[in-house]
Amino acid sequence: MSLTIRRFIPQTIVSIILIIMIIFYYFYINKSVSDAFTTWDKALSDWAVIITSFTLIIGGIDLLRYHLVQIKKIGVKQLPFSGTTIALEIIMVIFALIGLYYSYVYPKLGITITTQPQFTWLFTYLYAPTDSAVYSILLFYIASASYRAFIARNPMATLLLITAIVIMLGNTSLGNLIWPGFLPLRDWIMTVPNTAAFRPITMGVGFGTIILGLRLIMWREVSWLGRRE
Amino acid sequence: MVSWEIIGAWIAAFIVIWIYSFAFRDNVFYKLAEHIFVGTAAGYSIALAIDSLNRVAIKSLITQPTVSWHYIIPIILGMLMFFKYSRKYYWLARYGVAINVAVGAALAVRTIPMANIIRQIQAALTPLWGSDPIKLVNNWLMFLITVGGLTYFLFTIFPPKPAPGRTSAIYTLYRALYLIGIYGMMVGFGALFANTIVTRVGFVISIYLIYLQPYIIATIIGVILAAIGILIEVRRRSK
Repeated sequence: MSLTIRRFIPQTIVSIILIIMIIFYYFYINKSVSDAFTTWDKALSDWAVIITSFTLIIGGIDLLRYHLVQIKKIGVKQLPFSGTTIALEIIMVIFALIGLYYSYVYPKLGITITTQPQFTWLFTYLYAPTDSAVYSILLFYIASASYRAFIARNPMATLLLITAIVIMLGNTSLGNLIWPGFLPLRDWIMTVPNTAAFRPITMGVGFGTIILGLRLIMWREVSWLGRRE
Repeated sequence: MVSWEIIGAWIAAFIVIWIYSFAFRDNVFYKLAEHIFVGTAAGYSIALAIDSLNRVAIKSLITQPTVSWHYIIPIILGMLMFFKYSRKYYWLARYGVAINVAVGAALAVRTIPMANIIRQIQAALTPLWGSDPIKLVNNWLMFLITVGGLTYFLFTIFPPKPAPGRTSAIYTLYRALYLIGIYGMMVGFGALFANTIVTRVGFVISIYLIYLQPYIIATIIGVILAAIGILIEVRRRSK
């Protein structure tokens, strides 16, 4: 009984939802069945959105717990850093809740969670620049990686190097100044060999996803259950 | 009068410089900027989660309770996810995860066969005979690289390698397609890598134009602070 409610019922839920959502999507029975399926399909997608919202909240709580543990473990040296993370996370959530409160109590003001002024300020001047800076700092690592990758060791690596140079020059105005043919050559590479090269990879991803679905239906895929009994 | 916008822009310039300082060496200001990023990102994602919970579930339950009554079920399942902190009742969280896994997999499984397989096969089926020689060369290249790539990713069936001194037509064809596939993918990866570099360079330029160039004094102060942070780190390491 214990194992049934711990493992078998959640796995059965996965199998049943997967089978129903796939079968009724591909097979048309009649209009009333199709309409009912569309309604429940939309409802199930909404259920997933609602549950995902809770998982994001749990993720935030996990992060708070992690930083509290770090302060406890490392001590005062960690306090300014972990303290900043904890404070900013809590402050953003408080401002979001204030926005939620205003959206219900004073709807005429037009303030919602994402348009709450202090929340917007934190997003614009703290989150947006840090997010884009962290994303773009990868340039330095890619530059270092390309130094190692773009070495003409063998014919394959040479082809990689030539293609990369043509694409980079074709993407910039400098390339057009050196030789006007870089742009059409870049377009040809992107349309013909590049498209053909990624086609088998895309197909492989497709087959992999179908196999994952089948593994879930047949209870072969159990990693989502988390810890084992 | 200093406005909140100016203060924010100065802070943004500082943070951007401090994050870039990591490319040279880890330092105290980078750590601070990193923690600011983690804190705001977590706060922002929780706020978005509350927002979508409000829009999808709570508003519908208040305005149309007879139609949206079933949203109570995912709310309960979502709350059950908090049991993941319990040693005894952690398995209750699996019910919510089950719905998410099933819906996510079903949405992928039912759309991917068409988008990733059938449409790709349709696009790969191009005419291999015709009067236009350029089009013909392109079509043959696309066909050979696609089939070659598929041959490369064939992990279940391998034609037997012929004994030394003997030849096998199937094995030769397999090897030829295999090599064409690898060379085609090298072109693809080269293009992908180059596009990634160009995109990142574009990001750095736009960050410079948005956050650094208009507030040059803030940028200089940020650089000085980052340099001090790096010096402190160097001295600390050398001790």
